[in-house]
Amino acid sequence: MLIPPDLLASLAGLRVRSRRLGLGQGIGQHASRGRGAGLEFAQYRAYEPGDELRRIDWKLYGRSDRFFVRDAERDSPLTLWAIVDASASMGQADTLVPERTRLAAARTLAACLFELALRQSDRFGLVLIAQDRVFVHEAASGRRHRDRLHFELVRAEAAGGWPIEPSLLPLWQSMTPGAVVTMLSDGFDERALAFAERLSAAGRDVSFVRLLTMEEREFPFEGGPRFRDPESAREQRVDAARARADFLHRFGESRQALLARLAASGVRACEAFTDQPLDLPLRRLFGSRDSAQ
Amino acid sequence: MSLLLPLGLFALAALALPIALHLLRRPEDRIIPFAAWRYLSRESLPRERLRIRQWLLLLLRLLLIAALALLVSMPVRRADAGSPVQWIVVSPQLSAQAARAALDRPNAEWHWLQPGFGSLDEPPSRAIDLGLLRELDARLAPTDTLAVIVPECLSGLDAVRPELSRAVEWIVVGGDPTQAGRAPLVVVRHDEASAAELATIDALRSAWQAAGKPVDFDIAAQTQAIDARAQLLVWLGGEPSEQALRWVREGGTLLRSRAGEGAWPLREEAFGQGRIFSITTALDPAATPGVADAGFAARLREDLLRPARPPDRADALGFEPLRTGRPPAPRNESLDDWLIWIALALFLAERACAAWPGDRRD
Repeated sequence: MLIPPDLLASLAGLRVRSRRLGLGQGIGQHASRGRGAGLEFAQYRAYEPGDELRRIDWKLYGRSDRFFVRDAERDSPLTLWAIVDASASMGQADTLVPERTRLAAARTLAACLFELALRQSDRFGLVLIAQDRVFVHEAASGRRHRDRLHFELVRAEAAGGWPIEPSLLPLWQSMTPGAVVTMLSDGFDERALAFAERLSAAGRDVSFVRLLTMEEREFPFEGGPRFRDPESAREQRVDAARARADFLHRFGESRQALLARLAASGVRACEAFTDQPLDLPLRRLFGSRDSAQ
Repeated sequence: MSLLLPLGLFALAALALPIALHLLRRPEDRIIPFAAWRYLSRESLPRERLRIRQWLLLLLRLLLIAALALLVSMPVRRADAGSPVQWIVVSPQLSAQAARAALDRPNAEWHWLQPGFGSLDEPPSRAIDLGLLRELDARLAPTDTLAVIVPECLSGLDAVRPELSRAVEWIVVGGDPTQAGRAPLVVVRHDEASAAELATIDALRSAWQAAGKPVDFDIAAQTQAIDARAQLLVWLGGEPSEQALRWVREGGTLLRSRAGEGAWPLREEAFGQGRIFSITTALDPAATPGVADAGFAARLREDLLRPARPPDRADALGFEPLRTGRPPAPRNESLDDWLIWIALALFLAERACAAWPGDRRD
């Protein structure tokens, strides 16, 4: 079972929306909103960093001195992409619960996204980054497609590192501008972050879920174990109790820095921990506006 | 120091166990895959203190096992001789006064030549065993001297002349009437209602006298002591005393009348090294008709008065122990007590060191 029943139930109120204006099918190449049919006013919502400035209603700003964005009634059909990072570091789990790896959480999150897309009758696709390669499963809609993607998710094993640049080229064609892309990764590879930023700069609505283990948050270790980097196999023996405070401080700073950097690039970023329920990151990213944060 | 059981040193192979344990514990290998490892500062472990304690613990355990292995090997030390002692042992065939009269050594240790080597001041038991000289020879220090006082006719021999590691003073006391020439002694102890039985005893005495085989009788009440040299003890009525039973157990013959259970004709029952014959009736012709039989006296003498021991007598003059050229058997003092205390101390030290509160994680 990729999605436990209680998690499935808690997805009830979520809707995935794009912060950007979709180009839509058959509406021509211009992204301008005012002309043409098909874009009806639905509601105002508060401005979020990353929304296109064109969508701000300036008249309302003049009246209320706050930024509001117009939502369209008939959204152009949305394409949802989930990029699952299955590099070696994603195989890390808490020592006490070794089956609850980051990759397991990423699988569940990706499955939840597909579920949401299915309910919205949107198209969804999967990109799997594993074994130094890129596996693209083109976007489609429907239950059969969802089951196919489930199968691919379950088959994935955590191994390898980030692929070389030329391997990523097909992604630029598959993930068209306007698509909603959610990257599920641990954020330790600089190239993954750079890729997310480039995607966002190139017109995709990118969200980033940083999957961390409870031990990276708390550092509860004792004694003098050896810590090994899963991807480079380098080791370091440390006195855990004495290194705790320093680690939490330095890693905490780096976490904050990463979130800030991604937000500055227009990427919706949040952290998710393997010991916490997985609807939290989804709510944070896609939840109703008043419950965001 | 030497080992009584050198093969016990194979127990030292157990020394490999703590070494193996310490070696196996060395790599405290917890490898934790940790992607954020680069944020860990390079702190050194406080391993120096840990190491010293581990070496100390290993040493204590090795010493403990070595001590136990040594214990298994039974180490002994050559015992010190001390000042020379003069030992004089007397054969229980003689009396204490006769022995003291034969030899005047006021500073010597006088003992009976019997198991336990009791002091001469106590009465001896019936046991006669000349082979005890070998035990005494092994027990005494090489510098001690030994004198043996024996009668002319030795009893209690085994098939070999004793060969000792020292020269003994072999003193033969003659003049004391030896047992071979003496008439056998029958001790009769009776209670108050034994008048008829005493008449039977009288008749037995006359019969044996007439047959040319006189027997000495010692007739008294049951409270009287029993001469240890008696051949036969007749207990008329009541339960035999403790001394009587002890005498029987060491190889005597007892005839009981008016006993709780018995049989006629007389049936032998073993009792220790001796024999007991019991009849339930009184020993007189009125109660036991078989007593009046013609051959009763002769049969009684043959069955009851034959000695319980096989013939083992020799002339004392020809039986002086030989001195061999072999060195005396070493007298060893066991070191077990020392080793046990050492092992205990090591064990407590090891437990204290292991349980000392310190950085014992991993």
